[in-house]
Amino acid sequence: MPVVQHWTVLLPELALVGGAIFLLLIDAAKPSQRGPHLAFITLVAVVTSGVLAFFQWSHPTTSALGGMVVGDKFGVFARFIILGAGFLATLTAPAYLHRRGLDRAEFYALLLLSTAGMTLLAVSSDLVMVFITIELLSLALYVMAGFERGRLESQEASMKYFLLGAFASAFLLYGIAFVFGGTGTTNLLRIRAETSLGGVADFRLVGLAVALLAVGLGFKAAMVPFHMWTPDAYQGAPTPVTAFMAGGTKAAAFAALLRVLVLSVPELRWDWQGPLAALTVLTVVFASIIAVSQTDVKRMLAYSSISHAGFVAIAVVAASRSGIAAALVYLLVYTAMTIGAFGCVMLFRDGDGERVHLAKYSGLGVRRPAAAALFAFFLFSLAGIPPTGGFWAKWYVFFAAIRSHHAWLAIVAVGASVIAAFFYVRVAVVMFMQEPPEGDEMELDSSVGLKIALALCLLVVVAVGVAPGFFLHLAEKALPFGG
Amino acid sequence: MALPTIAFWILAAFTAVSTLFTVLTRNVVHSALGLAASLIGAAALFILFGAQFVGLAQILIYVGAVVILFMFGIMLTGTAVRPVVDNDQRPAAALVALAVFLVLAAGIVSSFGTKKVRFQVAFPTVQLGHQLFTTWVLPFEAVSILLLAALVGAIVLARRD
Repeated sequence: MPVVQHWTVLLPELALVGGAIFLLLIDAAKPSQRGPHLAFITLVAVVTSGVLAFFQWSHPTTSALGGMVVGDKFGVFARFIILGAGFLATLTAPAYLHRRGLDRAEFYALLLLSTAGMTLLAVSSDLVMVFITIELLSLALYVMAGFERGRLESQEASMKYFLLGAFASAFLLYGIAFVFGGTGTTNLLRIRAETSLGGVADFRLVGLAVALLAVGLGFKAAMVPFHMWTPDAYQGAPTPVTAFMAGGTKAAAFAALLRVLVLSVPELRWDWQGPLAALTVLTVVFASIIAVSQTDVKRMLAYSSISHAGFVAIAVVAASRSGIAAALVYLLVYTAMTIGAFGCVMLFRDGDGERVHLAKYSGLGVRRPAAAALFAFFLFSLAGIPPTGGFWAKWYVFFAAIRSHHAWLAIVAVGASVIAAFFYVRVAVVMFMQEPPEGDEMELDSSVGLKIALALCLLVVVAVGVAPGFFLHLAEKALPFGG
Repeated sequence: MALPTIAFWILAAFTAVSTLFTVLTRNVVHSALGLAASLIGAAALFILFGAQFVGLAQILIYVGAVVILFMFGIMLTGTAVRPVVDNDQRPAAALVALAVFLVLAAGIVSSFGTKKVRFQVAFPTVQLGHQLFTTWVLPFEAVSILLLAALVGAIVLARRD
């Protein structure tokens, strides 16, 4: 039976789902016991998954389980980014949840299920799998965004994300139906064969389908104009969930977008490159301009993450080997620096809550210089100031765009990053150049998990900043199956 | 008349009558039961025409889950105590129903016309089951994980504490 071969490709996902079921079972057995051991089990599941994925790096690429998934280096690289986001979010979660009385096993189980959905999406090579895994990751995230049921903003975040997410899923499904109508298959490699010379595809249907698929995936990646949910969802969701959403979902959505656009319909490149380039310009420019007027730091970081989606999309438009590698490096650095920035927001306590308003940051650099410097470092990296990892990520993306004759796109994006630099640097100015208010001791969160998470984020951003070539080299090896 | 044709007319009449009962009764509990009967009739028609899987799925999902959900809704909202509900939108509803009927009837007549319907299995369920557990086994399993996530999520959001 050839279809059950290579099921070992899915071992990392089995570790995640197994961890989730184990968490639910021990919670059912001892419901009164809550605490850090739940987070510890989650971390063990994520690390196991990562180790199992690591062993696939040296395997030859395979198509497995009836062509539903592929085992390739691209999948391993994308999984590492996603698992990293899950790992960091789990480290930051216990202290945050404990303070609000929310440290339940279900949170970690949903986090693991969502991570499994993301990693499975990154290796899916059939549109049916793409749809199911997107639903899996989203469904868990809808609930996690509304996990703080007592807080109205959290409910709002969950509700908006859910309603618009369901709408986007309909677009995706509609697109998949058109692909099937136009090519007679939902398998990405077979779609490629049917749309190539000698194939039987109906190009009007496939063109329409690609547009609908891009809308559905663009929603998950939070590209303008499908970004409407992002600021509210990121602002209202519990901050560990926001960090996880910002890092993991984006990496998974772009892995799927790369597979669908660059891998399965390269022959339609001339049709989708133009519209996607337009969306990209819209995303980077619009998000950067709106972010300038934000005074809520979580909301500002949400717009920042939208604009970063635009930068990754530039690498997708490039539709080349160097584009794919640049997108992977970008997603790696972006995940580390954005989770680092949200982690810093969790670090700065204001009584029982967090400092979310920009005015509350004044003088933070005077009272807590080390923590403020760390936040400033992540912000500078998000802005793309050398020699941080964020600079090299942007550099490779622009380089890929120029090499595939989209120099104008790179020029527009550089302009947008100058605008974006303004609001990143402004936070640093508020922290270091303003006097702290009297009587505000500006205590920091003392949780060990959060500190380890921030140290790991710092490590990745510095490592890419110091040795960008090493990571680019790895990403260049990580070509998708059939690419 | 051949036996399947007789069966068809009996089932069609049963379905039509129970559907009419569903919309004409003023008692919501009766209405929900009428809907269940109408859906069972439709499922029987599917099976008669050889679409076994669709027929069984219809019973499993619509009768087994959707109508039961209606029943729960009626119970939980307290409508079961005062079950008689009605409003003045009957003419508008009749108009919409007529329009839907005309569109569907026109579609069916124009695509099938005078073609003879054959009472035989077009796509055996065993083949479908085989496909489901070979080529499509991974999506099948992934959907079950998705349902697990939905279940856990629903409990998290709904429970009182």
